[in-house]
Amino acid sequence: MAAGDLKLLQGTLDVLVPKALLPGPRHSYGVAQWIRETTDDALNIEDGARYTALHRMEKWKNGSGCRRIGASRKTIRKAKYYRLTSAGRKQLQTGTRDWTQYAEAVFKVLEAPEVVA
Amino acid sequence: MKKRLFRLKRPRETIDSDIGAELQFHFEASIEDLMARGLDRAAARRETLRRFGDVSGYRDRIEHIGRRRAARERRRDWLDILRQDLAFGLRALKRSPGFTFAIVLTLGLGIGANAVMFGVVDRLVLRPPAHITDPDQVRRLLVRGDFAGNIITFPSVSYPDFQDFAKAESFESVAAQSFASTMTLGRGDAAVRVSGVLATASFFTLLGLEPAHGRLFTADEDRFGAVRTAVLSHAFWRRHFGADPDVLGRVLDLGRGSYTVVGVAPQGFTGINLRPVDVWLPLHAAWDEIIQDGWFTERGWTWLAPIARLRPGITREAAESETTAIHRAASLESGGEPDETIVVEPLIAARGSQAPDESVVVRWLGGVSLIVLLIACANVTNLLLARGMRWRRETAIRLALGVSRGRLIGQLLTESIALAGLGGLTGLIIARWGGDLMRHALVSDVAWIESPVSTRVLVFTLIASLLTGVIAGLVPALQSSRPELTDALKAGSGYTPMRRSKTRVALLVTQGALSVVLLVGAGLFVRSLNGVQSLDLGMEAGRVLVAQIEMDVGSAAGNDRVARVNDVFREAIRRVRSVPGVERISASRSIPFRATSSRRVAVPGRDSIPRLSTGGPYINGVTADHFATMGMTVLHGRGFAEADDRESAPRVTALNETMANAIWPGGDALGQCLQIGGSNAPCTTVVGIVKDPSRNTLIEEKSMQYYVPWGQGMVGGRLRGLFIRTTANPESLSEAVRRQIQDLDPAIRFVDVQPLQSLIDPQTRTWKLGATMFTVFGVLALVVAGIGLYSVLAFNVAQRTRELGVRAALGATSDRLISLVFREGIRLTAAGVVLGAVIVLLAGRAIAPLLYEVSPRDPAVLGIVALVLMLIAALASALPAWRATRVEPNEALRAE
Repeated sequence: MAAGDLKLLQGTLDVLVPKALLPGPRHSYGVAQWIRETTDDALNIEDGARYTALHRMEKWKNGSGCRRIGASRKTIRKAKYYRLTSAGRKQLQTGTRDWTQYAEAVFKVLEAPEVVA
Repeated sequence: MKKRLFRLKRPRETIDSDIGAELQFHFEASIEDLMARGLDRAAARRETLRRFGDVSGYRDRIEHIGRRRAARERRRDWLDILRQDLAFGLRALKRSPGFTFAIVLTLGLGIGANAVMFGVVDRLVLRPPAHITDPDQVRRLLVRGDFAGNIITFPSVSYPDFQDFAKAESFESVAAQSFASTMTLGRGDAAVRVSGVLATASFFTLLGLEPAHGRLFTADEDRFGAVRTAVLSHAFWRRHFGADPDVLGRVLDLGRGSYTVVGVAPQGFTGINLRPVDVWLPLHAAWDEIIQDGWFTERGWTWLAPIARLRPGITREAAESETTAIHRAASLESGGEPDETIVVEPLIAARGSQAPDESVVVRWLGGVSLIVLLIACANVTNLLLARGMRWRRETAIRLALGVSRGRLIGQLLTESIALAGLGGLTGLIIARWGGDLMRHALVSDVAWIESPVSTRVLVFTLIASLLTGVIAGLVPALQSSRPELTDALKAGSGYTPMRRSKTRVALLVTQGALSVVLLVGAGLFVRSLNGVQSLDLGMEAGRVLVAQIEMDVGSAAGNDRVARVNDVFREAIRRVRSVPGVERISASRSIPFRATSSRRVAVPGRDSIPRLSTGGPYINGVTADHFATMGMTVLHGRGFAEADDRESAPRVTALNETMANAIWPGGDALGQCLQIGGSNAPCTTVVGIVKDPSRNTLIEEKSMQYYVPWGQGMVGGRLRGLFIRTTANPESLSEAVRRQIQDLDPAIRFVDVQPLQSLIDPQTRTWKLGATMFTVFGVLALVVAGIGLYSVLAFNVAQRTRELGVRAALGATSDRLISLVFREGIRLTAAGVVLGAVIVLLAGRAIAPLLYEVSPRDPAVLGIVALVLMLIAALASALPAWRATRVEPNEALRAE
């Protein structure tokens, strides 16, 4: 199985997007770019999906994790910047924990000695 | 607040172009990045698109998310504003509890009156009777014909008429019910009177009725000679049988036979009318409970209320012309009236030609309650306007600070709607309590199935409250959100140049006018009621008891049965006469306000006698002393004595005035010969003329009535009523009389003794309803309008403190100051009275049919109402006027 063909597990983007915003505000292209580079493009996520996740998480009341903070003066072109909210930070924490537990569990099985009956 | 100020609006286009810009940026940045890594532009572009995936698909998804969020935000903003406004409004209300209380009470009375009336109108006029499937397709069928020169629609039809209707193709099915008849259930002391109705088996299937228990009777059980079955009404089942489920199969000793209970009708089912029914009996099996031989074959006996279910797509006109054709053909064949037409009327009786009087009055009262609410609204508007004036400065400051006018209006409206909501709650309490009162006291012969605060009443109240809030609050909100900024900011609170608001003047005048209209209505109804109650009935009912005897004489042949009943009456007369307190006693064939029978008469040497539109002449057989017992006046000649009351006596008769004058206009009726039964009959000598007594209703056209001594056998049938004139309060004797009769004969099943007055009272109910409710609403309107006038005058005086102070300082006397205030109150009220009088004069004719011998323009009523209103105006002005004289010139001038 080629790395680029990995199926995207549900909820993956809801962890990756806040993580991308953790260091500080980024515009949407920056988020997409960072995830692509950090994963060496192994997850084969379409940029469109990243945008969808970003928009889905845009702040509504206290529900989701990031907030649009308007265009930056520095970029000439029109770009939207996103910043992580406290709710997003919390979501990232629980998401990371869940993912790690999940992955560890899977690894435990995969690395177990083969049982001879 | 600050956040909202900066929030950008996000209509749909903005969302879309936002996303467009974002994606645009993504593509440009991505292409640049890739080109920086050495790809050429075309390849970079291809790679960017590949990496992005389905552009339009993602775009749609993102737009969808954006739009949903925008909608959520809008909703939340709106709720936030509402919450803020409500909190603001409630705070303001808490600050002035007196003001709040006045408004809530005013609106509560107005809304409550409307909730009560809506409940009643809903049952009587708006909704079809309960439990009927697809009621829009069900119609009543009636016969319209010529009766002594008048085209009238008869309230019931004959059995052959009903059979005609069944042949019509226009109907899916046809059914009928009879009028309700009082029957006896059980016997002796345990006996009760129940209201029984005959119905065809098809009656239930046509209406689509589902029984609450057991079943309804079947077509097989609805045949001549079938075993007798009965269906109980739900209310009767609960009242008499304690809702016992084992009632099914019980055999009832009811009326003339034994009936097996087969089922219980659903709760609230009263057939096609609204009066309570206790038992339903199959028409063909139980006919002899209500009707007599021949009623199934003769077109002269009309006793059925037929209904039909229209086939889909058939118009009323088509059904009418088809049934009319069938009916006319059948009438020709049988020698009936050839010119009659059949009319197809709505199921809701109040919407057809047979609308009960109450339903007409109730519609009026519904309109009246709306007027009360309008007056209340005007009051609230006035109070809010007054307060708006007081807050001019605050409003001006807020406007100057940049609060938008729309926002301000929204805030004021929220407040007035909140007030109306509180008023609505108060109204519901009033409706709960007043509705019960009104139902029991005034519209008692309708089977009420829901509480006065039903779901529909709740919804109505909610809508009424909302509307009231908007109507009452809109003008004040518009006006007070538009103060002239500089004026309002400049002027100190004490120095408000008194410009009288035109709106407020108009409101006060309208209130006055509407109060006049309602009070005039009340006056007219009260006068009608007085007129009706003091009507000359041609008898003196005050101290008379009427006893009705029901006997079970089993299988005896017809004549013997009748003879036995009549013997019991004779015996009863002898016995009851000796009861202490009984002054006179007599018996008669007919009972006033109950059925009467007519018998043809002829006069020797004349081809015919005059016919009156009221039919007749109506015959009544009475025992000796009947006229004196009933308090009827013998105008000429004499009444009947014991000597007349036997078969062998010379034949004598007494006529009522109308009959005497119709046949012998010269006034020489005494001693003339009347042939009772037709020109072959022997002479009966006219020996007396009595003053016209009421026959069927209180208010009726005069009819020809004549009397013969019972014992001479010129009227057939049985005696029906025993009349007892007492020396004292008749009701104290009724039990003693009942006992005496009950013990007379074991075959006596039931004796019903009641004051004659109780037969008369139901006749005045419509006027009582109108008089009471118009008065209640009129007084309500007067109180509300009075409060309104008072509050406006009081407010004006408060506003003019400075001006009054200046006047006092310049030497104005108290008298002058008082008259200043009084003049204003009186002038406003007088304008209202004049306007109201104009309305009454123009619109009065509409109510005329409901009145009795009072002109809707009755000057006495109008005069009294005008006087009362001016009195109230004076009262309302008194306190403010007194306050005006207490203004201290020094303080007033200094208070700045």
